[in-house]
Amino acid sequence: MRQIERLVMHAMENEAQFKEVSGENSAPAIIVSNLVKSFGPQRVLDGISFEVRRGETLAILGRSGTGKSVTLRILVGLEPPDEGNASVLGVDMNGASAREIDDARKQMGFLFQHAALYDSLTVAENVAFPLVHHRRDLNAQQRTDRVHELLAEVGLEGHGKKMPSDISGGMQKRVGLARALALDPVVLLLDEPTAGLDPISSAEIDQLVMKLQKEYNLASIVVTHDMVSARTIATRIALMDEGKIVIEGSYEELQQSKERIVMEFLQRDLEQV
Amino acid sequence: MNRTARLGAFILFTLAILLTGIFIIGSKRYLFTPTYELKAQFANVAGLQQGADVMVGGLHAGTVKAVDLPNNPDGKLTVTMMMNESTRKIVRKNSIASIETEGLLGNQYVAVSFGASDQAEVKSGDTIASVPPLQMSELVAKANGLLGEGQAAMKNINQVSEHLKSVSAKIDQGQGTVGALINDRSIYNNFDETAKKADATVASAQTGIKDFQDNMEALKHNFLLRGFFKNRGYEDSADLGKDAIANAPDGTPVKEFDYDAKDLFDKQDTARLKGQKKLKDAGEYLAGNDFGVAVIEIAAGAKGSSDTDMTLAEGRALALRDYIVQHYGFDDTKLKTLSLGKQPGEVSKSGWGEIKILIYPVGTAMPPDKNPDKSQQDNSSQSSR
Amino acid sequence: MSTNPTAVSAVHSKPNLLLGMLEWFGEFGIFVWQVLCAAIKPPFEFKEFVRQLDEVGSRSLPLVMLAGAATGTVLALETRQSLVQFGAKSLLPTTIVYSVITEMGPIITALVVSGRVGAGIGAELAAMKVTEQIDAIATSAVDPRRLLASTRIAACIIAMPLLTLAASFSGVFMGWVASTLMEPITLVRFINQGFQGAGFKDFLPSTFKTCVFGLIIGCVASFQGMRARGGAQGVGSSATTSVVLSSLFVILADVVLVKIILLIWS
Repeated sequence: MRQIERLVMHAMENEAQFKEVSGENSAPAIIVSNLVKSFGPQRVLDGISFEVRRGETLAILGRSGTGKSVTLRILVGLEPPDEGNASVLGVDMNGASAREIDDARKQMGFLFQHAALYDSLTVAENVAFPLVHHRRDLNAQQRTDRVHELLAEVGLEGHGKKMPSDISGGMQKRVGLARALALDPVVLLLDEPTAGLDPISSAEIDQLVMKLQKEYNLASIVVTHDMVSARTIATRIALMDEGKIVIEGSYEELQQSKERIVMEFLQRDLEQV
Repeated sequence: MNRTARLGAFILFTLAILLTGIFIIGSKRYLFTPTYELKAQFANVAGLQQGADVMVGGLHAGTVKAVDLPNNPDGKLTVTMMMNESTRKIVRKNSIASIETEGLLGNQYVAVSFGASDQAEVKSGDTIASVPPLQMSELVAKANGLLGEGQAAMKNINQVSEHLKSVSAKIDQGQGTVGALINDRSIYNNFDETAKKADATVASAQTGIKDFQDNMEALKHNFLLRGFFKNRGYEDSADLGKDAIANAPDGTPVKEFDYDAKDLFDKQDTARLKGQKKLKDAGEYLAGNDFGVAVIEIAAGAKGSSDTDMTLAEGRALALRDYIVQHYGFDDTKLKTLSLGKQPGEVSKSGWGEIKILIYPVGTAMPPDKNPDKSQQDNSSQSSR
Repeated sequence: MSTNPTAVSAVHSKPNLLLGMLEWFGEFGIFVWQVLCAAIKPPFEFKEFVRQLDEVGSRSLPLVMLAGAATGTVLALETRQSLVQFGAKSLLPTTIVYSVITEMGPIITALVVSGRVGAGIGAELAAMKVTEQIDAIATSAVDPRRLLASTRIAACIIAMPLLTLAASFSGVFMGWVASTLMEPITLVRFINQGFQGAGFKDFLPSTFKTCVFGLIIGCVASFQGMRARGGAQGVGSSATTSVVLSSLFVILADVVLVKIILLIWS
């Protein structure tokens, strides 16, 4: 494991030098240490730890119900952990004040599993929502321009006037992405971005995420059970089972693992391909 | 309609309703018309309340703003009224405020009479004269007085007609100068007719009085007013002093029962019996023994022999007498009452007055009646017709 | 994954009615306190407030006025019967106006609003909750209690007295229509007689006590909506519970408020 980490860090350093990004990069944007979370008798998270830096994409893989989404919810402060710490950009997402947490959230984008678009607002209004609440320096015209830009980024120009219920699931996810990117985030958290989509839409979303990842130099976490998607977009993959991270490393490293669960996941991936 | 316009319409519409409501209620309180203040003082406001109406010439012209109790026991209650400015030309310094009742048992309101045109107009805050409110008790007392007066008048008319008859008879017989001078029967006929008319008048007057008595009787038994008579302790004011004697009989009583009025009556100012059982000894003695005269001697309370106190003493005597007579049968003509008014020297402990039942032995002379006309009243009114 | 695991644990735990009630009140109290704290701090969500005021106010207006009109009509027909029996037919306008403005208008409005708006807010917020829209608002660094709950509660508080005025108005008006159909009386005379003896103490406190009803409806419905669990069933039960509880609390609060008003103004 240590070897793997060393390798990854080495790769990160190279990447950081290559991209000439700020000194913030030296510290991990996301630090998760020893998270424990139970719902009733069920221990969903049983001491998981990882770190993600800018420019990195960590894919958390696992079977449904293994606490992948809960990890993301803890990271964004929607759920308190029973034990352990989750800090994003140096802010403890469960111990800090509401103001500090909100400041951290402004630098985070979150794509929900079902996009969670506000169904009383149009697509454009959905994308504008974070801008309306946090970019009071923008006037109406500037805001409209920025919304157009974001919609163009996710390939949805001209769909701004539609209501979320009138567009397809893949389009909803893209709108969700546009909304998550509205405030130029540093951290992007994606909860099952390809779940429930056809393979073509999934591939499109994957391409989009990769493009955005490069463009915004994000520290991202993608929760998924789709190995293809994970392999495409992630720099590292963490495989979770029974509340623990079984293995963490690149796709190639996973391929060398002899763990049964890892092999099962890879098996399925090969079948799909 | 877009959202903002709809919301604006909603807010304007409901606020218009609010303002209309405020205006309607406010105009009832004369908030939006010029007003001035008028005061009147009453010893008793008979239940008049703040917010009651003020009528001028029967028209709603103001409201009672406040009814304030006086600062000291000698003062009167002050009724402050908000009057519509338009009444200022009518209400003058000599206008009189009176508290009246809507119907027999309705709400109280203040009526302000028109002033005289030569009088000065009132200024805001002026106090005008008032007449005390007519209360049911006074109404009954007045009615009783009227009844007495009516009967007295009737007697007079009877006497006049008797005289007239005798005069006309004499004229008819040619007696005296008038008879000699006028030999014409027409004058007699005229007189006779006049006398008949007088008779008819008397008859109708009596019918009227009888009707009134009937009404009073009905009122007394009406459930709404029964309480008033019940609280007073006796029903008929005309009976007051009927069996009163002018002075105590000569001689010494063989038996004497002493009571404090407090033990026998409900309240200090009513003749309503409460401790009837205490009268048992006296009643049984009267029923079981032969006696000449028995006197219920009532001394009024410490305050003195004002009219009301005398009435109270007489009422109490009447109530006691009625009770004893009804519960312990004996010859009630021998039971008399005597009101002493203010008690000389000794005052009962409670200050409610003392009551004595004095029983004189057989052979004691009956003292004269206090009100001879009253005790004979029944006989005379029956014999007159 | 979308179903919240806490829902499962809630089912598993033994239902204790008293404990559940105490917990409900505890959570409710915390919620109301948090909403209050969030509401007084700027920035104010004026746009959302206007949207909700329109939803609660203007859109409830026809229904509330219809309910008020029905109340006024029924009141006129029913009380006329009993007043005629007692020979007090002339008191009909006073009776209608007095009952409508002091009690019938406010309580009918409160019940209609708690039915319409309570269910609306309860279901809307519950649906937003189960589709993670409320979480999405929170992750956008916007307090959902301020954006969603406080605006709806404020809208209820403002709209209730206004709707009550409308209900009372249509109640009195239809009371007059019903009266004049049975025995002709002009509107002016009806109003004059009706407001005879009615003071501000009858009109204003009973109209503005409905602010408290609005507070109750808004708080209960928002709370029930935002604590919804599960899917469609959770949305439905949230709407039902918010209507039942807000109607119940409105009636209970009315008893207390009437007592307080009588204590203060008489």
